Amino acid sequence: MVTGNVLSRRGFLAGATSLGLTSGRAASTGTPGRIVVLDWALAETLIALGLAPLAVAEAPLYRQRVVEPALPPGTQDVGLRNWPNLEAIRSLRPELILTLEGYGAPPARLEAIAPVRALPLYTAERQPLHLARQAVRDLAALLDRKAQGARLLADLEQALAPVHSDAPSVLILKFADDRVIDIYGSGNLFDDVIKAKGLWNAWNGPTNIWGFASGGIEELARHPEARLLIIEPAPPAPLRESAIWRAMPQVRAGRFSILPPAWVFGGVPSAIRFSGFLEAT
Amino acid sequence: MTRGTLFLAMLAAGLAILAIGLAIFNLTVPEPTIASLPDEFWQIWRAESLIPRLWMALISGAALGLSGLMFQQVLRNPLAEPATLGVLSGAQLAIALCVLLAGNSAWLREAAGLAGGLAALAFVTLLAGRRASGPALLVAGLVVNLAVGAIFVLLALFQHDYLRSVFIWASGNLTQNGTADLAALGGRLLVLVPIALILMRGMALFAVSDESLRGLGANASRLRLGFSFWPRLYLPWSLPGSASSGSSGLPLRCWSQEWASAACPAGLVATPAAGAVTLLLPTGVLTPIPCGLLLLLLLWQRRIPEHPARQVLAGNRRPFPAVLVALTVLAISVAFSLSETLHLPGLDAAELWPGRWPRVLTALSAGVMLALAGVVIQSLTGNPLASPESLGISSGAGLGIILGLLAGGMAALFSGAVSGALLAFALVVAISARNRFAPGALLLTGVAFGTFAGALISVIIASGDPRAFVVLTWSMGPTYRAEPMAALTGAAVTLLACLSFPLFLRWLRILPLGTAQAQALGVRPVITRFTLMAWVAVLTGVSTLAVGPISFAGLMAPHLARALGASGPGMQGICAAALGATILVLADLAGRLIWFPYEIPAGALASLLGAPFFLWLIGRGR
Repeated sequence: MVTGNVLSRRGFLAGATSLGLTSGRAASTGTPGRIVVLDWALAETLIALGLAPLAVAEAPLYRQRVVEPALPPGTQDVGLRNWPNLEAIRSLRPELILTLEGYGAPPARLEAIAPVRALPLYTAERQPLHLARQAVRDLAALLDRKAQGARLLADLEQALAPVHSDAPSVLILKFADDRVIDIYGSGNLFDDVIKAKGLWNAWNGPTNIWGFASGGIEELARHPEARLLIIEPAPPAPLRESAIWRAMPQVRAGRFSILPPAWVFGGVPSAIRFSGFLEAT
Repeated sequence: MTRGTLFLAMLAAGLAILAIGLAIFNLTVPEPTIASLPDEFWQIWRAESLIPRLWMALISGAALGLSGLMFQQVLRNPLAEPATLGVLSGAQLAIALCVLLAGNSAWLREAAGLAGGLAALAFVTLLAGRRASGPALLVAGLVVNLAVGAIFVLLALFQHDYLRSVFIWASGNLTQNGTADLAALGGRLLVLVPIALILMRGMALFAVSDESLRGLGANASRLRLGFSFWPRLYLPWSLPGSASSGSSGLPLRCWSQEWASAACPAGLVATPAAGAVTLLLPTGVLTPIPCGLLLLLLLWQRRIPEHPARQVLAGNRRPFPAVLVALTVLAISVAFSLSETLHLPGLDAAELWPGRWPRVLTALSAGVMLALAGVVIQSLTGNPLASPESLGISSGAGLGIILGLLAGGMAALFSGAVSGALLAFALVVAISARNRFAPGALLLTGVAFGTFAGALISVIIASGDPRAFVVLTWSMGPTYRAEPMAALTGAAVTLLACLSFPLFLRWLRILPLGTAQAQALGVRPVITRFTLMAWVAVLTGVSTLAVGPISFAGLMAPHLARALGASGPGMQGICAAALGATILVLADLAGRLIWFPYEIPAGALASLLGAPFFLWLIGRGR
């Protein structure tokens, strides 16, 4: 999905050729190629393909939010994901910059530094899992990691094997504070995952382009039959002690689980990680 | 009772009935979606959330409306509102720090909010010192607001998702998870309301000037501090919805001059009632939009009386040494900024040149443009709180960016900003033309815009949309986004501005004397005001498009120039331009170096570093 203005053919060929060489060398010597990644979904995909990024935007925060696959030690930080430090990127002399299409610094500014590959995940078509698979194929082809790519996609298919559940209806949510929750629905990666696993997302309301809606906790009580999958952090203590929380149908029936951190805007590795949590609940 | 007063009394009664009616409506007619709630949950939710929420809206709205009225009376400034003295930003910062460092419990948040608000107040009061005149308090409050706001914005920038709860608070989410908050608020009001009622009787004093008060044997400064104590005591607790209900009195106040007096009994009922109505409206967090529209409508329909302009913080020393120091610092920082490679050992300056010169040139031009625009708008309106942003241009651009982002994605940002700024200017011109471009109408129109632009920004960030981050960064003056073409355009406009500024000096000297005097001296107020306004609008628009709305340079550079002793618009202009450019170039440089590889937006850093310097100057001046 290379578009003309993102990458010129000559630049692409030069980048791809030099990358072929570095990744070849990477395979033999274990040294990483010179790739700077500005989005976490692409960073985790790259790591899952067995390549170490030279730098990832907001690397320290990645370790808290995405957690796995872990960033290799020594991965450098190049500033914010939505506006990385262009001078810091230049000083690393990268051979490829990976970025999310339609988000962050304009490709023209990045292209002045190194060849850029912009991949889409969250688009108007609202198929993040499909695009995440496509991103694995694209990166595997670009970086000569076809075998690893095929293995990653096979892992995903295995992870997405349907689960048999007596209560297939769930709600995936995260607490923004003790009064507002984000509920993930159509257009979010985790919505695609639970549907593939044969579960049913009880949230049928509208969602934004990233596939979530915000509301008060009474939204949850509207779907009393749905199991609550709460992505950490856990509900704040004042809320858990309140009469409202104790009156929630799911809480009274014990139908809720608190899941470890997982990147809700992630790629294939996050989808696999989240599937694992579903098996465990 | 005159006909006008009778009308006002009826309006007050009408608003109060509307507030009660809205509350009853909210209780008896459940939203269709609530019907789908399980019955036993609905019973508890109604008692623990729905009813407390309504009471919270009524009480907070009324109390904020009243506070706004008192602040305007005591400070004698139509732009004053509960946030003016730095209390709200102090509370907001303390809550943010508390959420980050100590945890997110309701009890802790409240304690932190109280402590932060009171600390900000103590600071403002200390700064204004014993000469607590209206303008001195306002300027001190403004500086604290800007500095605290900058710290807060930096926290939010680097801890974005932890701090979403703070934005949810700021966007006026009144959701209650129990009756505890309401009980606490009610307890406090039992004490505070009687005090307020006693104070109100004395508020009429502030309708006369400080000099007259002194003639009556009263100390205006001590009175002012005493009288603003009640709203101060209340504010740290007045949790959400402050943006909408604090300014809810504005439409009422421009309805009639009589509203400006807190001693008017109808005003005493109507302002709190309007505050309560604002918070009870079913529009929720989008309430500032109808409020802003109402204000614009009223401004369109009614004549705003012209206030005589006042000169603030007039200087008398010779500012040449300060200008020379500023220019030297400017030259050194430009040279250093263009060539440094402190964090980038592998690169030489030549490689960085293509990325560096646009941002340095943009910071420099924006500093000069905003400072000149600030000098002109403050002289034109005679209001120390006026800044280039007061024209509503930056707010218009901000709204345009948000709408562009929501409608067309990242590609529509620039066109959204341009059309937003143009629309805002057209609207401000249309409205203030009906008032012959009188300063009061001009500033109120800008405030109306700012109110809903600010509220919309809070709402979009509270929504958690990752793209909202773009709006947040933009609002902080990120010079690092500067493009070569934009930098050159900005520089060209700056040059034209510097060349044309001397043409306005005579007008700027004469206009503050008042319309009648100006006409006697052969200056036609309408044409001159419009010309100056258009000139300020062009400078503000160009710099906003280049670096976003940078409050500090435009607001503070004129004050700094005066504090350094520049008197007269000409000297103030030169002095302010040199200072404005220096502040922004230094802020851009420091923002790049302090937190590498993270870049701190120049606008936020300018407020943070410029505020202490400004306060030191003010202190030395005394």
